[in-house]
Amino acid sequence: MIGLADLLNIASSGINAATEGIQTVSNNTANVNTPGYNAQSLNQIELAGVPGGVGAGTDVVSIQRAFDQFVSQQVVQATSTNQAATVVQTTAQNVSSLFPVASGGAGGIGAALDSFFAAANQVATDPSSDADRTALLSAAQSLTSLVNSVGGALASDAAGIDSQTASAVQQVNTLTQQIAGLNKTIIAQTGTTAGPANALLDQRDQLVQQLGQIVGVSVLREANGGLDVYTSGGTALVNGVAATTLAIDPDKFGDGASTIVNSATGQDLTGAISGGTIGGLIASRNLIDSTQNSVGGLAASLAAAVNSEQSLGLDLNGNPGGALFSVSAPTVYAAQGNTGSGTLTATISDSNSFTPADFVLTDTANGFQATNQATGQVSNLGNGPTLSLDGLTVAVSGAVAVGDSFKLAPTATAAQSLRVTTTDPAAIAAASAYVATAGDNAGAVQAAGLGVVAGSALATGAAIVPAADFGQNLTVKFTSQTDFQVLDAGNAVVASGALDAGGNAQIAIAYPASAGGGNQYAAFSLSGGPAASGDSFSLTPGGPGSNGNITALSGIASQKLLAGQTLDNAYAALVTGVGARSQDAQIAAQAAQGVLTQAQNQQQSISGVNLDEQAAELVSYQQAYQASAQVIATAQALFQSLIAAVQGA
Amino acid sequence: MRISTQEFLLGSLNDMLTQQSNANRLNREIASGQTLLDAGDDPAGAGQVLALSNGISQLTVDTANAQAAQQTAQTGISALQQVSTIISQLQQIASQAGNAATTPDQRSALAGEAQSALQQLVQLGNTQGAGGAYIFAGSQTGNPAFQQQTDGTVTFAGDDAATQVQIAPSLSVSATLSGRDVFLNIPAGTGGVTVAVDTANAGDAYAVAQGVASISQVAAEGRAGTEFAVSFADASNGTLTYTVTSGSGDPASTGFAATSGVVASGPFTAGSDLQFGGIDLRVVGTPSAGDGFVVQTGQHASLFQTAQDLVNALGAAPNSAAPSSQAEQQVENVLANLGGAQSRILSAQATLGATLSEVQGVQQQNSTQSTNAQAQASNLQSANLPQVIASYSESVTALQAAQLAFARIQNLSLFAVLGP
Repeated sequence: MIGLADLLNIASSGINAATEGIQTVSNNTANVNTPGYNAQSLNQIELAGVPGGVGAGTDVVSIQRAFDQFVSQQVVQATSTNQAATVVQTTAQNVSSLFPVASGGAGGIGAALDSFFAAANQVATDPSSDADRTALLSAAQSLTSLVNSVGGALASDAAGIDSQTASAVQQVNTLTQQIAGLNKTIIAQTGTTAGPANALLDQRDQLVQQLGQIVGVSVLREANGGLDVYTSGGTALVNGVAATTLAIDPDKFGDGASTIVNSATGQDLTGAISGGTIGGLIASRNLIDSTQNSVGGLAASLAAAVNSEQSLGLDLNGNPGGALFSVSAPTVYAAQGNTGSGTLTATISDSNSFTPADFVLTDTANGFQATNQATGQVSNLGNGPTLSLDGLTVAVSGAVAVGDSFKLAPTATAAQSLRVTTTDPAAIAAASAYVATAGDNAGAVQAAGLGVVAGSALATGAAIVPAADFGQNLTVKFTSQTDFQVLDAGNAVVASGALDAGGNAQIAIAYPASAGGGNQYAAFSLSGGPAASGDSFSLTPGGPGSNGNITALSGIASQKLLAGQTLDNAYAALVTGVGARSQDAQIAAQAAQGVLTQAQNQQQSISGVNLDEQAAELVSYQQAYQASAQVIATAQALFQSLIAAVQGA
Repeated sequence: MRISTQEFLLGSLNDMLTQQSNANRLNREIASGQTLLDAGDDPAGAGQVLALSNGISQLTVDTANAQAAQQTAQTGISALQQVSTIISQLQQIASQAGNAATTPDQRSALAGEAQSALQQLVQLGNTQGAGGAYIFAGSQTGNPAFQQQTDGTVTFAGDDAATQVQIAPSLSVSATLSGRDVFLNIPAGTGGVTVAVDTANAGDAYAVAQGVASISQVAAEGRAGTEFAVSFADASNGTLTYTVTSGSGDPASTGFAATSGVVASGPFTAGSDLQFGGIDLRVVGTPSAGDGFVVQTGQHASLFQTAQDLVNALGAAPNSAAPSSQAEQQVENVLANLGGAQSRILSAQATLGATLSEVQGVQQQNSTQSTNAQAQASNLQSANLPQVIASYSESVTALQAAQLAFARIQNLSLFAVLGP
């Protein structure tokens, strides 16, 4: 049995609930565009009345937010993946724009290489032409400028990535501290009957979302209301009310590279981080480093090959050719913690078996161990004093202690340091060191230049003129129909030989030890013997019209110079590699975008505010309010009727 | 599925942005005519395009080289043609010089002609190519190959270096010839066999090597530096006999040292050939007893020296009506040398001609290869315009439709309908 007073109570509980409903609708519509806002709704129950009787009205127990923990975590992860892929994609596109492919690669290093060798070939057609020589120098200069600018652009990309990483780490610190701060408040509120404020939970989830954009994270919700955040590698960033502070430290080799560390413990966390902006930046930095190394490898092997060829020929003034390019030597960094005093020096001794990469060399009890930083491949090099590693020769000097380590950067700075060292067109060594000219011979022996021949490729029994006599005018004089002597300018015999049964012989003049990497000979063949005694050939330095050496120089274009490839092929492989990275990143970004959109849709479908829905709810709450108000009016009317009946009686 | 208002608006926006970015990309393809704009578009294709354009660039260089080689070879050939003409002219002059009817005045005129022919020969020997390089100077292209000294002799300032020019992948040709080979190192007389008349000869006989019976023997004698002394003597029966002694030594007969003795002897019959050392020697005229010839093998004569010899022969005024055996011999030697020179020049021309036709053939091949490579590269990187333009229209239409739909849908709000 209920009284009229109860009727009023029930109606007023309805009015209260409707008001709270309208408030919720109002809050939902106000926050329709607030990032991280989860739509709220009434958690409304019927109040129990007396047993067997009607209910006692309604009560709003709490305002709850529409939130799905699983979907929210999915969004965080998809955001991380997407962000990392986007960062890598941007970098890869930046890097690949340095290697244009449109119009057959016009404006790229490959085209500049082609122009350089074409100019060399042009010099070969008329070696005495000053204009052609100047054109070769300017082709060398534009190639160099292009390589420098690509190297410079990569270096500035790398610097940009480093500074982005530093600011991203700062953001991580700010966010983790904010999350830890919110944890503290939320843990305190969780103990109360009302429970934590929805706004704080929304804020914390939104912060996790933002954090996920910067670095890949996973979360663990504690029973006490706290939220722990871990990197994808499992390192705790937020543990209850405590946040880990990250910092950027220079790496132990002091080579300009940096690592992300736990600032309290100094622990290197680079390996424990992936995903998000930072994960993308780490991958981008690797891409840039390997590209920098490859371009540097091109520059270094071009410079080495051209300089070596230059040293084998004569310039327009008849002097042995000097270097045309300069390039920085491989750099070796000693780790800061090294206990020994030993040092390492590296040179690229065989660029053809060298694949550009950085290496870390560590002295172990079993000798030196090298780790290729690009591939992770480990090789054992044994003990010094000379180590051989993938085309590199490493000289160990001083006492290296076991455990000491060194970082080898063979070509990291080569692209930026490439220079053309001469402005004198005459300095191009186009001419062969020697050309042969027959005398007024009665015999039919002919001499033909074989060019520059390595010692191992000389015919057995070749007459070898020692390097000490290199550069002099030499005369080959037959003392019989088969025997000949090689005379120097002072008519002293410096070598002798004989035609074989077929009437052939070889004469080889040794280059000075330094030329062309050593063990090189200017070789001539004699054929068509026997000769007449007294027949002669003069061996004289090639004149301004000699193109033997410039032909060899332009032939560098088709030589396998770098990692078993020609320079052009190595460049094409580099571009293909960068393009593939760019394409991979693009596909990954697209896929991640798809996953992200899907997760966001799902999350929005659960937690987002729909204005039409809110309008309908508004109408519904309004009507409920009006209805409850009507109940009060009715109760009042009933009460009035009751009073009137009593008065009338 | 329930859709939030924000998602609804952002979703539409994202779709429009995607369409815009598509349209922009297609717009770039249309504007540039290329579909391969970035290595990331088609990494493998990018590598191929670079390799192809490298190949095309090498072919371009080879073609340019081939053109230069062709030009140089043609310059050489035309110079040699002129040389050949001058040699014919000198041959005529020499024939007239040998003619007894030629008067001293005519001889002096002929001497003048021969002198100017010599100048022309030196000039042709110093022919310059397109870049001003002396094409017969080997590697010493900066200086004239041949320089006439004050004593009239011509010296060679070049060398034998052959300038190899690459005209196709792994194919090089040399478009120049050594001036020493072409002008100087010519076998003298008949196959290197020369005859000199002893200065003390009383008879009017001179001798000509008619031919070489055994090339290998003559070559071997040449390498050994063999000389033959031919001498005539009266036999007891009043007939003339000859003796040929082989030996070696200074070309001048006084320094001649007999080493292997008499190689041929017998009675001399006018008009018949003496045979020794693989050589057929015809004695023209009548030798006197005590007369002699020196026959040398393995000799070379420069074309310039031959011309100079002709000038000298014409310049020497005959001291009697009948030309001396010395003068006759000189003219005969000049004629023999000119014959050798003419065949040397013809073979040089043939060599350059072969180079020329090789270059032309290769050039055609290069151009075919280059066209193929260009077609391949174009397949990889050129935009298929009809297709791209169609996609572009599609993309733009879709974008416009999305915009229109957005404009309509964004008005749909229950609040608007409920109204105040």
